Formats: sequence, C-alpha cells, structure tokens
Amino acid sequence: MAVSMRGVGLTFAAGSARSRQILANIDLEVRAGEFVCIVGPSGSGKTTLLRMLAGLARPTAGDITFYGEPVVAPSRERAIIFQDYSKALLPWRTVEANVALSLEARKIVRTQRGAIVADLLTKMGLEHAAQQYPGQLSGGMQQRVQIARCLAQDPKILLMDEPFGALDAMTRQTLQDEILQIAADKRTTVVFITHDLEEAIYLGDRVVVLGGTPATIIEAIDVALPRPRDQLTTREDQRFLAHRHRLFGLLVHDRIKRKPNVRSTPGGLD
Amino acid sequence: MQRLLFGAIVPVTLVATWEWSARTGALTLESLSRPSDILRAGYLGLHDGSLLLATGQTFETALLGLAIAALAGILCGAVLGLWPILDRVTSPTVEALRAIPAVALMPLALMMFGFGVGLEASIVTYACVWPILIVTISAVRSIEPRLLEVADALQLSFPERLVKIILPAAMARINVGLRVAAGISLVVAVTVEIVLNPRGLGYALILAQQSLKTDVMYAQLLWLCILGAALNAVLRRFGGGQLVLWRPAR
Repeated sequence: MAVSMRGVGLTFAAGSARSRQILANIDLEVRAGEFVCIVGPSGSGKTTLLRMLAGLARPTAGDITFYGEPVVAPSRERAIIFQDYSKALLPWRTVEANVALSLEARKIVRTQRGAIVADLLTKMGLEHAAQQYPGQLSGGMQQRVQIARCLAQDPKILLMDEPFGALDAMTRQTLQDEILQIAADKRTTVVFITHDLEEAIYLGDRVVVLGGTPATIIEAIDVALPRPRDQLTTREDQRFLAHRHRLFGLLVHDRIKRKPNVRSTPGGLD
Repeated sequence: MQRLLFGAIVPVTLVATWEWSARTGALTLESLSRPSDILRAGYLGLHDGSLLLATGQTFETALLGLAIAALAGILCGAVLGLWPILDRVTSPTVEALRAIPAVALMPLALMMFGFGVGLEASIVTYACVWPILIVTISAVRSIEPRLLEVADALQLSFPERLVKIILPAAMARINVGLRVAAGISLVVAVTVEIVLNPRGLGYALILAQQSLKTDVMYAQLLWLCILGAALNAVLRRFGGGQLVLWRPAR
C-alpha cells in the first residue's frame, strides 16, 4: 500500500471550549499507482486530510503510513500541489528557476539541472515561458509551473488540492488530460481533492466521498471506466452518468441531513 | 533642463552676491571665505589627494559599520520574524537599547576600541542596526505562509530556506531599512570624526576650522554636500528596483 490511514481523526483546539472535530475515523488505503479522488462538501475537511498526508498537519487520532513508514513530517517523496498556485510560486524566480528549486532541494548538481528542467517544461508545454516570471503568466500556465516543480521532486505520490478549481473550464479540461497522461506515464500514485464531482469521476480509479460532521468516509465508488479517458466519450458513458447520479444524490442528501444539527459554521477549514 | 535652470537661479545669485560683497569689502566676516577661494581650496584638496583620502576613510568606516549592521540586523531580524515568541522575549530589550543615542556611546566605544576604525564603525553599526532589524522582522513576518509550506514540502534546510525563500521574499521591504540605514551611517561617521576620531572628513573639517582655514572648511562642506546628494541618488536608484531582487510584474 502506498498510503494507509487507520482511524485517523483531527480535532482542532482539543480540550478547549472551542474544540472542534473536523475528521473522524478515516480508514483509507491507496494502492501504488492508483488515482484516488476525494470529494465532499465545502468545509468537510478535504484539504485537512490532504495536508495530513503531506505531513503539513498532524492527526490527533489514528496513524498514517506511507509505504509502511509513519508520516510525521513533509517529505519530497510526497509532492503537494496547492490550489493557490500564485502564492505557491516564487515570484522573484523565473519559471525555469522555480522548477529548479526542487532539484536544488534534491542536491542535484547544477550541470544536470538544465536538462531535467528543460524536459519537464517541454512536458508541461512551458518551454517558451522558461525565462518568464510567474506574474507574467496566466493562471493555467502558473499551475503548470507548480506541477512541473512538484514533478521535479521526483515524488512517489502527487497530492493535489483542488488544483484546477480556480481555472476556466477549457483550461481545466486540458490540464485534466495532462495530469492523466503524467500519472499514466510515470505510474505515479495520485490523491486528488476536488469539489467537482464530474472531475472526480473523469480522473479517478476510485472516488471517495467525505461527509458528515465530523467528516467521515461515507462512500467509495470504483469508477471502472476504461483508460485512456476522453473528454467526450468518457463523459457520455452510461457508467459515468450513473456514478454522477449516485454521487450527486449522496452529497445533496448529506447536505440536507447535516442542516438541523449544524453546531458551528463551516468554512475556513476547507 | 528648464527645472535645472530655474533651480540654479537662487544659488548662483547667492554665490555671485557673496563673491561681490567680499571683494568690494561690503562684507568682512572671519567665518566667510570668498567663493573663489573656496573653489581654489577645494581644487587643491582634490589635487593633493587629501580630500579624497579623508573621503575614503569616512566611507570605508561608514560602509564597514553598515555592512556589519546589515548582516546582524537581517540575520537576527529573520530569526525574530520567524519565531514570534523570541521576538516577544527580546522586544523590550531591543526597545530599551534602541533608545540610547548611538553617539552617546562614543566614550564607551573609545574605551573599548581606542581611536581608529573600530571606534567609528562600532558607533555606526549601533546606529544602523535598529532600523534594519525592525524592518526585517516585519518583512519576514509578512511572507506568504504558502511559500514557507513549499519550503517544508521540499525539506529545505534552515540555511537553504533562509537564502532561497525567506530573504528574497522579504528583500523588497528590507531594502527600505537598508536605505534609511545607509543615510544614517554617513551622518554618524562624520559626527564621530568631528567629536572624537582623528580621521576622515569630519576630522578634516574640525582641523580646518581650528586652524582658521575657513576656505578649506567651506570646500569640505561643499564636498560633503556633493557626496550626500550622490549617495541619495544612488540609494534612490537602488530603492527603485536595481537592488531589489524582483518586482511584482504588472
């Protein structure tokens, strides 16, 4: 197993009056090479879950292992791709130098960096933007730079936090196909957070649904749609539509169920 | 060009009147030399190298003090900015120490270093370190937290994180502190030389005054005025972006 979460829970400000349990009893296993999408309503702790996998947040209950090793701190083996790409890039470095940051972290000698960076930029369609600064690029291009930098880490897993949430529909679809291609090429394991149900079905081998307060895994569906996937035919596939119905029902149902016993205002934690 | 012409009206008229009244005997004050004598003294000072030597001495000490202050201020500022608890512990002390006028430390510095570079540079350092420290603390504290998470995710060591993330991210704001400190460094260096330290432009100035070489004294003042303006121009240039490692793109 690439990732194994057992009985994982997280309570903010445990023991105090403002104590608030975000996640409870999360049991999740991700196989090596698997593409798992996690969906859930806003404020359901999806981002918190991903941050725990990255090692940027620590669970208050249960344990998380990555290839059998407990996750206690961030590691270059687990690359995290943030939604707010403009904040995650170094504005004083060119595109090329932003990608090279990961290679510097890996202590790869200067003479070898150029070729690796050039290769990644070509793969992400950024070869013409190598000398530009992030502020000069469109959102989609900036997110590509962040993905390239994460790939330069040579990670075993990509943790993606609503990476395409802030992009327009066209760019989003292009990037979806690019990330599928990358995952297929390198057989990288991916955990992908999204609030877009169709995106989750289109990309994933499995879609895990978070819901409730505190959030738990309320459903996991095997997508079992053929690969490579296609923006037109996959989305018209009967199984795709069936999954969509099911997920939609689950999340809307969950939302209605949640309403009467909402104790604190959601938001801010997602 | 027109602005330059307009701006020249006042000084040119003043200098011409001054020269004319000194030559006709309308004005005979021991503290006033004739502009032509001042220019000659200035030319002689530049020609025999004494003025440039003194300038070199003043600048080398001012820059040395500034460099030490920058190094210490930026390093400590980064640490205090990253760990607010340390800042809370040290800030009363910092505020107290900062309240001591740097020049009041001259007697103490004289006991510690004797006359020379050490005396002067230490006072300059003391005067310059506070603005740099305070600006750095606030600059580091306002770094985008996401960038620090990127550093975490890439497992950067503390020195790497400092050099690759924290300092570049904070540099634009730290530069403001450096510019303020650079101005202070020259003022303090000349002050220490006038009051105490027998070297540099300040000492040359007091020496000329005490030996009643008023024209030399005026020439040195004029020279300081030119240097100050030049330093200001250079700093403004840097502050405008040259020293800044990056500027947000439009």
